[in-house]
Amino acid sequence: MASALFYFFAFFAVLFSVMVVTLAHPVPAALSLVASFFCASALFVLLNAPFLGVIQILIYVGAIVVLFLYVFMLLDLRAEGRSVGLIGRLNRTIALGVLPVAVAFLLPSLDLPGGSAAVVEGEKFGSLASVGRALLGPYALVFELISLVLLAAMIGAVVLGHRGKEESR
Amino acid sequence: MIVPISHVVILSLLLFGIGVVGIFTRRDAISVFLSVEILLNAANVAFIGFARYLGDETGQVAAFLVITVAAAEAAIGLAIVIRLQVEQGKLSLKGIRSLRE
Repeated sequence: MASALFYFFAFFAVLFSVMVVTLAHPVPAALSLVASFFCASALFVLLNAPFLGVIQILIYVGAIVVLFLYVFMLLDLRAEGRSVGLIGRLNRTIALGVLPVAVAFLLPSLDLPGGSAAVVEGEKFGSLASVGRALLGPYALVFELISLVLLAAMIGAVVLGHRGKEESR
Repeated sequence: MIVPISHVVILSLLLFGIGVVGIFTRRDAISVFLSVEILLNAANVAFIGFARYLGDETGQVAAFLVITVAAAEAAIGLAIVIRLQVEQGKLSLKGIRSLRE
């Protein structure tokens, strides 16, 4: 049952990802990115990572893609003008039709070495408590450093925006 | 749930391939950024799949870091996109060298 759900969401994740790449206008592309991220967060929950699933929706969908859409309003957006020949259209149709169907119907019957995950008993694997313990235990330094990355990105974004203002005066 | 690790890896590979194709076929900066987000998401699928396969939370911590880096990348990338628009009035990546001083 749960594995059927996995292939269901994998189907839509691949479908919407192909749409992100093939849609000519950026706004529908960004909205299909949202849909793709929703499916990915469902996959994360199915793979015993409920915390990452929630973070995916909060940060990716709620912050990053909304930031994208917000910036779209500031830009002069138009659909990418490109000559789509017969081959381009054929490629697009094949990608949209074949890839998701292959994931949903061919992948479950594919038998490859490796096997499936060991079932972890005892302390609930991937729970918020155990991920938090890992983040603030062995990976505490990494956790602090990543905030430095965010600070650097913030300063960089402000500098890039500010320089633009001075030059246009 | 009984999904083999190979299927998770194939899914991640497929998403990564879609993102790479997007980067190389699109010409405006915004679409390239959207494709980069697909790449990062594909990496996260692999990280979380292996975290579960090995029963080790390290993969989930790595996925958390990837999401944070994606946020930083989006902030910088969108600032660059706005600069591109200010400098040349359009979003084509052909003129991105004009940002060099």
